[in-house]
This record gives sequence, C-alpha cells and structure tokens, in this order.
Amino acid sequence: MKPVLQKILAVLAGFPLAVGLLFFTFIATWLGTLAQKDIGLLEAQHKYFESLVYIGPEEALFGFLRFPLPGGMLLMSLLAVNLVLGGIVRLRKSWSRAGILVMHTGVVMLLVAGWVRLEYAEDGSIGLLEGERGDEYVAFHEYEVAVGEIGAEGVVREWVVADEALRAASGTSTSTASFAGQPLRLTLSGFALNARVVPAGVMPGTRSATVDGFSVQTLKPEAEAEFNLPACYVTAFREGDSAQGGILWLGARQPWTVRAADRTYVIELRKRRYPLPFSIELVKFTHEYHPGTNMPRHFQSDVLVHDGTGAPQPQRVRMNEPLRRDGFVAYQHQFRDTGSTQLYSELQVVKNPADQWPLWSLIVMTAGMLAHFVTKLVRWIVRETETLQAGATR
Amino acid sequence: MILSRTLTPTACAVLLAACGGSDRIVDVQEARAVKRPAPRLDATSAERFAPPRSESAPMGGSQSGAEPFAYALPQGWAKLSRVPMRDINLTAPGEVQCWVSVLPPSSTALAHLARWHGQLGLPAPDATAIDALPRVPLLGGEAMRVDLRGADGTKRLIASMLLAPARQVFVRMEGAPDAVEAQLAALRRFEESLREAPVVAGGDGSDEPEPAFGWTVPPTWKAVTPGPMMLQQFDLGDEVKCWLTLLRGDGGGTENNIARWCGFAGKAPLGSDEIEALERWDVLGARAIYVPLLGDDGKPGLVGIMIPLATHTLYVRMSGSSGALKGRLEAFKTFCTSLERRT
Repeated sequence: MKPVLQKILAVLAGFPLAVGLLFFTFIATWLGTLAQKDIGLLEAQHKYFESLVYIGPEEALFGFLRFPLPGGMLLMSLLAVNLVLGGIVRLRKSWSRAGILVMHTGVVMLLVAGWVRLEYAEDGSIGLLEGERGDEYVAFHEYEVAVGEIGAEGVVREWVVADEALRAASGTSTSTASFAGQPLRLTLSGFALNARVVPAGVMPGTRSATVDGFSVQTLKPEAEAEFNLPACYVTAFREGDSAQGGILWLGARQPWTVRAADRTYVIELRKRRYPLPFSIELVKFTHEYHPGTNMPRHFQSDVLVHDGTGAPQPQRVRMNEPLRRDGFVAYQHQFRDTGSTQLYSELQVVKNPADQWPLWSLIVMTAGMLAHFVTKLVRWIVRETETLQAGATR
Repeated sequence: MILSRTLTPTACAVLLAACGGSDRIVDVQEARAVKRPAPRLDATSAERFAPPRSESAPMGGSQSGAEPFAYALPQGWAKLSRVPMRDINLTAPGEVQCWVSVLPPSSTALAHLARWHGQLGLPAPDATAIDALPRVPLLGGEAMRVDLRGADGTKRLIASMLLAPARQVFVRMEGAPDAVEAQLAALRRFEESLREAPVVAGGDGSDEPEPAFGWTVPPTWKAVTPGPMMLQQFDLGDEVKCWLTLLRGDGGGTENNIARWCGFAGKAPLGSDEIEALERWDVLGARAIYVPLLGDDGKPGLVGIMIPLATHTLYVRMSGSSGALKGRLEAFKTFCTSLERRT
C-alpha cells in the first residue's frame, strides 16, 4: 500500500480520531439540546444531528462568535468508518480480543440502524375516538397534493403529488404533475412552508399573486413544526379547456374543485398519508392523572386489529408496549381531552426497516462485553493460580 | 373574476419559469382506490379560506395565526407556544398557567365541573353545584366562574365557562393558591380585554384607497427586497434592518404590538403607564409613538414607531444588535420624520 494511503488509513482508524469524534458529538448534543428552545425540536434535529456541518451556537458567544462545526451525520459516519477500520479490520485478531471485536461490531450495527431509521423510516400518527377505525396514518411534517376523482359514491380514486415535488415548487421553480390517463395536469408554484391565505389588500404591500381575490402570505415557520400551514399556487391545465388557477392551503376548509372533460376532481394540500395493510379500531381509551394535577399517570388504548383474514385481534397499546405488526409499530403517543366523555387517542405509527436492529446490536454488544470480561477473568484466575502454585513449590 | 382566476396563476407559472427557476416534471402513474364521501364541491375561495376558529388571529397581531381572540396581555404575563386544547396559552408570574380553549358544544357544565373536581382530588359535585356558580361577563356573554382548591391544598383552579349553542369557551388559570390569588386582578383584566378577532371574508373589506408614502433614504442605507407584509426594507449594515409595514385599522392594538416587539427584543411587555410615558414624534401629521427597546450592546434590540393614520397604522421598525442600533438612532429619526403622503 502506498505510504499516503497508509497514513490516511492510520488516521481514520486511529484512537485520537475516535476521541475527537466523541468530543464533537458531545458538543453537538449540548448545542442541539439548547437550540431546541430557540428553533424548535424538528429544526434542531435537522440542523445539529442530521447535517454534515452546522453553524453554532444559536446564541452567538459574546454576541458575535459562531463556528462551523461537524454535524451529527458527519460525526456518526466517521465514527462508523473509524470503528470498522480501527476496531474491526485493523484489530489484532486473537481469542483474547474476540469480545472487543464483537462489541465493536455491535456499535457499528447500532450506527447503521440509526442511519437506516433516518433515511428509510416513515412515521406519523393515527388519531381515533372510541369506536373509530382507521387504516392510514398521517405524517407529522410531510405534505402532499391529493387529486381525488369524484364518482357515484364520493371520492373513488386518488393520485398524489409527493412532498418532494411540492417543496420543489418554491422560489422561482415550479413542479408540473400529470396523472396517468387523466385529462388534467397541475403546475405548482410559490410553495411556502408556513402561510396564511388572506384577501388581497388586507396586507398592503405584499408582493404575492392574487387568485380570485386571495393571496398567499408567507409566514415565518413555527418553532413547533407540526403547526406549520403550507400553501402554494396551482394552475390546472385541462384537456380541451382553459387553464384554471387556484390556491392550495393546508388550512383550507374545503378542497378545490376542478372539472375536466366531464370528470370532477377535488384537489387539496394535506399532510402526507401512509396506508396501513391493516386497520386499527379503538375500542376503549383509559387514562389516569396524578392526583391534583393535569399530568397523566398512565394512559392506554385497547384496540382491535382488523387484517381481513379472520376475527379481529385485541391488543393493548400503552407506554413501552407498542403494537407491532407487518413491519409497523404503533406506540401510544398522546391523547386529547376534548372536554367531553369521549377521548381522542393518538398512536404514533412508525414503519422502520431497522426497528429491531438496536435491540440486536445491544445483544451483540452485551455478548461481546461478556466474552471479553469472562476471558479476562479466566486469564486472571489462571495467572493467579500459577503464581500461587509457583509460591507453594518454592 | 374568471379572468383573474385563470390568467394570474398561469402568468405566474410562466413568469417564474422564465426567471431562471426549474420545472420539475412528475408523472403520477399510481392511483389509489379509495372510498370516501364526496366533500363539498365548488366551494368558493371565500368559503375555502374563511379562517377556521383556531386560525382567526387579529390582523397585525401574532403571526402564529392561531389565536381565536384578540386580547391585552397583562403586565408580567407572557405568551407560550400553542399546544393542543389551548388556543391561547399564557404564563403569569409565580408559575401560574392561564389558557383559553374553544371547543365545540360537546359536554355539559356539570360534566366539566366534575372533571375538574376529579383532577383536584375533590368529591364529585352534585347537580345543584352549577346553579350556585357566580356569573362573570366574558366575550359579551355571561360565563360561569369556577374557583376550586385541590384536596391537598397545593393547587387552585379558576375557570370561566361560556357555554353557547355554537361553541364552548373556557378561560382557565391554575397554579399554587397564593400565586393564583396574586393574579386574580390581572385575570379579570385579561378576560375583560378578550374580544372576537375580526373575521376575514372575501374582498379586502374596505373601499378606502390604500395610502402611499414617500421618504428620504439616509445615504448609507441600501434598499433590499422587502419581505412579506413589508412596504419597503433597508439594509443598514452590521445586520441592522429597517422596514415599513402598513396595516388596516389599529393593526391589532398598540399594547399588543408593543408586547410583541418587547418579546422580540427579549424584554418584558411594557405596562400601560410605561407606554403612556413613551416619547411621541410628529410624523405624517400624527402623534407617532416612539418605542426604543434596547439592551446591552450585544443583545438584540428593536426600535420602532407606530404612526396612527385615519384608516391604517404605519409601522417603521429597525432591528439588530442593540449596540449597532444605538449608532443609528439619529438616522432612524431623520428617516421617519422625512415620511410624507403621496396620495
């Protein structure tokens, strides 16, 4: 191997790099935690823990000092490389070090699980009143434009323009969506993550376009990201007819109606919905407060899971006892006291391909530590026994 | 109207594309079979965008767009982020919490009272308890006033219940008994100040022509693209910005706006005496209120004036670090006093 490559490998596999990475991980955790009060949980998560580099802290030191620092994604990626190279590949292989090798493998598994969770997990929530049944869950921070075709029994088919295309329609960019075989094409523009739709002229001086007497007024994103109300402009190009303009807004009370070639469509901007391969029916929700406070002591949902193959299966969902099925995990998330006898239970639903990987990695790490400590203990006992025997012989 | 609906967004899309932005092409092949009742078809824009109950904030008030009522924030109180079931969420000195909830008519007064009794570890009230509750004015109606102390003596709950056919409004205050006692007068003032936020319907709601203004820009100020709601914005260097906004009417109220500005500058809201004592400038023929909110040099600051006009209120604000703002106060005053009506 060339000397330069060897040097790079030595640095990447070295202990000093590991110590440095852990130090900057501590800094990112510290600053990211403090930042949550200024920029909200989601933004802090993106900025400090899912980035390659961030500029911090939020409150400049001495009023002006802020630094570019390595973000969580960069730190964890380098740590994985460091562990693989230094803790697995270059580790001197012997039975006495087998436990360490297994431990490092477990840590790498944990890091990979985190990355898979970040890149591939889909999460949201499903809210149910007692007696209600749902078969889709709603994303917390992703949106979509849904185009529903009206048939004899209401909305019968639905096409969805995904979050990425919607967000791409911001600034001077647009997104144009066509729908297989449909006489309709939509061009989205002027996407704003948080907005309100106001009658034109109510906010003098706004530069937004006016459609049917209304404009989109962009607002600063909310610190609590789930309170954002995104909006965008839309133009429907209809086959054999003129274009029709409108505004889509998450806070709209009714969808936008468009007719094209004798078909009727309802178009709305909404939070992204994920279908479930089964449905969940809330049978009973129970909760209890700590006496004299509004702090819940415990709360749980008794649900029935309908998968269409047989009798519905009862399941209790509560803290640390989620519902696991078909790769989905539903946790008891929160509830809302509506002030009436009916309570609204919200389950957080996560589809995470790496759902159980952290557990497996912990098992691997535990096995590694056990192997290492047992090996050490055995060697110590053998050495002490030999010393004692040698003393007795003398 | 039809022309506006058709051509404006089309023109926007074309212009945006022509300005150098990109156009992402999406071909949605997959259709999901669903079965849902048809929503209301052909709703007008005014119907679609009429503010929902929880979004009808006063124009010019909080930009969170979430509070259903306008109100005056008592001195020493602060706004908190909205949380579920708290349409207005406030905190008062002594770790006292106060919030306003608006609910659909979902339950009886006795059921609400019983729930609160349960939360405080008190025995369930009997049916006559409701008749015994005193009444207080709230939002033009008569609300039932509940005053409960927890069984262990550590907590006091005060609630005003306004149960109308269309909705139920609750003002709640909770905290340690002594701390709640100290806030009773402020709570009363807060309740008295609560009023419906103006409902935005179609059209701009006024036939008054929109005023226009002229001004003299100080030599070092540089005009930059105005943000939303701004008439004009200037970059003054050192991350100091100055901008003008114009709102209809009183723009949500002097006290509310000053409280919001104080929040921005990291200061406690000014009381009415302090607001009364603020310097006044003669601008555009009106007595403009000058609001300097400055701290230590490194801390964020805000300097602004509110100019009440016949149909609108014009605001000029300058923000940045307090140290940078202090060096620009003269230029700010020169700019403000140079303002003139153009129509």
